[in-house]
Amino acid sequence: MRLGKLGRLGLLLAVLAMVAAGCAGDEDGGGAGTDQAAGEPVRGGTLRVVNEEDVDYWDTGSAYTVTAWTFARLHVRTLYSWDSNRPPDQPGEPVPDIAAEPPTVSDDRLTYTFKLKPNVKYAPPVNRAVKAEDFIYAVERQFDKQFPSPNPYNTVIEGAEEFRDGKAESISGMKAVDDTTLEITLTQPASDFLSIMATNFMAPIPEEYASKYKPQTDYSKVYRGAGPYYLEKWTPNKSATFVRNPNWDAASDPLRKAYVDKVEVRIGVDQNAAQQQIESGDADLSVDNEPPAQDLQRVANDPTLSKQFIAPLDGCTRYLTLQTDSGPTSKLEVRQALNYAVDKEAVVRAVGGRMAADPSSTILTPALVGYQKYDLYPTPNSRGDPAKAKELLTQAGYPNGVTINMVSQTSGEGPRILTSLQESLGRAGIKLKNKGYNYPAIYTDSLQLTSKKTEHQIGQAAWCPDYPGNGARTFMGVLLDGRKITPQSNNNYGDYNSEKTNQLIDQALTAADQDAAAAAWAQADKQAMTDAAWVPLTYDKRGKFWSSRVKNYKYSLWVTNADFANLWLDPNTP
Amino acid sequence: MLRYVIRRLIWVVFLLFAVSVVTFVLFFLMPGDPAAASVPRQATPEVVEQVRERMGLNQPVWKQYRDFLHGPDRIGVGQPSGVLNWPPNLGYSFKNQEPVLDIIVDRLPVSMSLAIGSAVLWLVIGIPLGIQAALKPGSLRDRASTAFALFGASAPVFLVGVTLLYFFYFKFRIFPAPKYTPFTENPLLWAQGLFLAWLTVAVGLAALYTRLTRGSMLDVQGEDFVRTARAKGLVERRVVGRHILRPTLTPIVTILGLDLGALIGGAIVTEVLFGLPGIAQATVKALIDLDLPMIVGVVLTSAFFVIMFNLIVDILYAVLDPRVRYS
Repeated sequence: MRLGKLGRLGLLLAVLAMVAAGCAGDEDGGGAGTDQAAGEPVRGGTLRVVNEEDVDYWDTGSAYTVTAWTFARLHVRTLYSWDSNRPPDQPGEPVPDIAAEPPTVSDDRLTYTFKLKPNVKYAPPVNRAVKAEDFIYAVERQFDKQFPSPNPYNTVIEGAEEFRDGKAESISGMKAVDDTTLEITLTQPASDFLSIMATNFMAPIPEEYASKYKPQTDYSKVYRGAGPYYLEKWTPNKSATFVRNPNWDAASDPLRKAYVDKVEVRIGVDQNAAQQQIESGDADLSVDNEPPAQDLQRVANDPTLSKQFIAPLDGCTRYLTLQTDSGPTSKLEVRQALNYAVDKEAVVRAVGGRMAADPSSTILTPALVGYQKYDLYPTPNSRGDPAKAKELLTQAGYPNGVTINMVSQTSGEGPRILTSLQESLGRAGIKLKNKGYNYPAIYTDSLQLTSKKTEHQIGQAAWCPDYPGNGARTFMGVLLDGRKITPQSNNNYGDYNSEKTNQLIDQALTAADQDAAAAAWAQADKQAMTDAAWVPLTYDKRGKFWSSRVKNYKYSLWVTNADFANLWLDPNTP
Repeated sequence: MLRYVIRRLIWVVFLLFAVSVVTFVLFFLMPGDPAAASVPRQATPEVVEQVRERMGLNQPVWKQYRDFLHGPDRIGVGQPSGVLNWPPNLGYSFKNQEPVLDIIVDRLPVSMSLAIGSAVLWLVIGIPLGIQAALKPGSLRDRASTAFALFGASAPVFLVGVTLLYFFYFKFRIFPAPKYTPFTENPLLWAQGLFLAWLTVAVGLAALYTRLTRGSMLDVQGEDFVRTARAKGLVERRVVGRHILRPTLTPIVTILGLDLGALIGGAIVTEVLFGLPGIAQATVKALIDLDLPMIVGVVLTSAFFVIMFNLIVDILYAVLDPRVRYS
């Protein structure tokens, strides 16, 4: 068919539109995220959030979910926090929040002295200013025997373990020099200490108010922080409402502009319903719902909806953990063969395509300093190299292939990932003897138990760092430190223990600055991959969609969600 | 009749006891460690053990059941737990330490609203359609009702719900976003927010009731007393209304009771799809969280309603059909 002038112009426009939609729907940001043309800020309105799951707690001493930490941006202030206006390549660097300025650090890098801003006030009925003592109480109460906090970082502080074990009356490494001066001494230097202080675990808690309640759920119902909002009402698993903190002083808080008047959260809304309600304008966004797989392409390619959608990396990874001390995977050549055999593009397709993940080849993800793009086991287009894998298996003493025990997840994308692995590994002569577990039993009943190592010679696993930037303590430091292997609750599922890697981890944790830490983490990453401790599968992405009236949506890796304290609504009714 | 009712009520207690034992056994046969599942993976083994102790999971199963009946105050609320206390204490959710009974009572109006509203719809749709089909068997009306019954019986609840949501809410905005508003707060919003959920449940059951009504009515139409009524020259409307309808409805009432009882706590797909914070939604959450007290609580609640509705319809049966007598 011959196209006339009009036809050719139409075709050109269509191609341009497709390219523009493709670019809009292919956000790959890892830092401060992106926003549509925002216009002038508008104050007021009620942000309506629809979530599938509730938080575990609002009590910052124990809250440890993405949802709780996302909303914490509204009602919690910490000594240090994050700035969603940072450049995309510096998303992880924490900045002072309640701290008036960067701390004074002793020469041995063990003691940090913080000066607090004097006019940071809790919401009613507490009403008073935050004082140094509040940070000490916040950590001490985490060692409650009946309601213990899952905070894994409080023991970096000197004396915390002794206090936990009942050998001391207080934490020797925390001192309130006066109301506005806090001194913290560490057990050893920590290059990421300011990032730890930016986690919500370290938020101040007023003792005279909080001590009337039991930690966790009881205190969650009445939690009071010093943020621009406070939790007015919470009905577990149903709803939550945040309203303005009348004591919040905007001048003391350059990190938050707090444009909206109120935030209403409805819980129990599933993925499909959330998408419909946000598209219809009956809700504004969701913290834990992504656009359903069947809507992703449509949304990403729609000229209007694509402006309300991003799919950035979230810092998380999926991987196959390999048992280094049991079965065929105890041989390096077998682990290397697995790395060559897996078709990672097929795994990416299994989890939802390039809007859900990219194929990975490293331990650390792009959200973490120390990440470097390299691939020790490259295959054409990440499609696997069965011939190379077979060669390695032969060297390992398995010329006719090998059968390996595996555990996989029976829910979510688990079955599809398993199918793709069976196919690609099968081409290399590797048979999988699989046992399926639902979530979280795959961890609690198998991967975290060293007694079950025979059944999880390969394990389907996933992990996310607790904070980006200099956050590999929460990643490699947990997953591949051989000294952290325990019979239960073991997160080093493959029992990987390399003296070299352990030394590099120590080097990174105690490094003098972020650059030195990054260099050490990068080496640790390469060492673990040289040892083929894992088969990295994907760098995950998280689809985010918001309603047309939400403006200035800035994605932050710190919460893998928007910065709620800096978006606004236009129109601002309701 | 009174002795019959008292005997049945005593049986209720034994049945609920048996249900609780079976639930306990099944729970501990399921894979998963509730203590480890309730804390993040980064938690230390010591924290997991402390949580396990708080949950009482470090005890043998029989001791945990004993505590369920009458047990210590593990979370410092100042009173013992256990279902044999007064008022009964169904324990505290593993997930958020809230009293299980409070959670269930809070969610009950949602599930009851869903059940009752759906029942009204399926009866209003199903019974008249069934009557019309039975009055003219083999006619176009009868065939249409059969087709409707086949569709209703075979269409999955999820598919019906998603389709209704898509067209009546998302595409054409005929109804607002599904949401539960208490009846006492605003009856109109209550109905608007629940209507699509009611319709979702009602479609399948209306189809069943159409067939039930048709079949039951055809049976009754063949009875001698109906022939006699017609032979006496009564108009057809009177024959149907006064002589056929009541015995036709007797088996309907029996099934209605069972369906209503099962629906309170059993409408899992609908409550989850429409985001309704009822008992069924709590059940799903409890299973995922391995929350033993909640699981036992919701199972007992559902069992209670099934058993009680069963008892109520048996009593109604005697009222509707004078041939039935209980001794």
